[in-house]
Amino acid sequence: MTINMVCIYFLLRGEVNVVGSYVLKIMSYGLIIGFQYYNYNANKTFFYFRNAGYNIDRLYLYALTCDALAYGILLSLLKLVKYWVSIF
Amino acid sequence: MGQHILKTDSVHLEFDGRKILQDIYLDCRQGEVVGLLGRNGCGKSSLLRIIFGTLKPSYKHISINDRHVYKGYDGGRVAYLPQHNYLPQNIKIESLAEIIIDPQFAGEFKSLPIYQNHYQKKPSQLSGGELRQLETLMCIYSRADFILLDEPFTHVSPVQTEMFKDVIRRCAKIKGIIVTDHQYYSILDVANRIVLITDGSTKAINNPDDLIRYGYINHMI
Repeated sequence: MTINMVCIYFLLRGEVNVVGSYVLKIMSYGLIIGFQYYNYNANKTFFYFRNAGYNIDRLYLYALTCDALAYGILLSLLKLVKYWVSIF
Repeated sequence: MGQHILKTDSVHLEFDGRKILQDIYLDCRQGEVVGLLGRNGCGKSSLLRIIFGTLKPSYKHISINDRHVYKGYDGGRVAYLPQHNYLPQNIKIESLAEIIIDPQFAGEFKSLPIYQNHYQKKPSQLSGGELRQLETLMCIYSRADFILLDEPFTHVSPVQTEMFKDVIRRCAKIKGIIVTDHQYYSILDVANRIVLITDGSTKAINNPDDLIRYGYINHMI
């Protein structure tokens, strides 16, 4: 969520375009995954999810896809609001 | 439904050119407890992690009902109790249990004092001993067909050890359990079969004197 807010902030200020903001998000995903995989304490909890029958790679895929979709919807709504504000 | 059987064969594991595991055969059927013994550094934990799928050896053949298994945890067939804490720290115990506990044992698990006293808390609010007890029980009562327990009796009081052994025996009626620990007398007590890892290979132990013959212990307690 924080990353979404940062991306939207730079987007609304006109410092990055939509494609650029998605590139920023993909880079942040890389950082998150890298931290989780290589941080000794973070990846200890993977055992809980594996014991529950979840595949960690698939969990990441679902979570990040949902995040990217949510970001797209949020972005579209903000653009729409910005457009309405400029009209009225 | 017939009994499932987990087989582990031809495992080759090396660290820095040192052969740790090289002549391994281990099987476990649903309905039995297999005790795995061996000296420090002989590769017991590594073998369990290889079966679970979190350690990649140079070669392995693991199967369930003669169907090759790439990673034991895929599909929730195998659960593993690591030596370290593994529960996420900031999720309520009640929510954690909901996902992992086998519905057949849910009533039994929820009646345990450790759950009754703490289900509204988060793992970060428990003491080290309480957390270990909860993690061990969650692993034994999990939905998996095969349970791998890495040192469940270490740092645990005698009363808890006895309780764990009772739970293992009850769950082993429908699950296959492989358990390793340095408290060999607890392993001898709870296991139906004993396998010793020595010089990188597995040896079937037919009577406790074999442990002396292979140099695992000097004398029986």
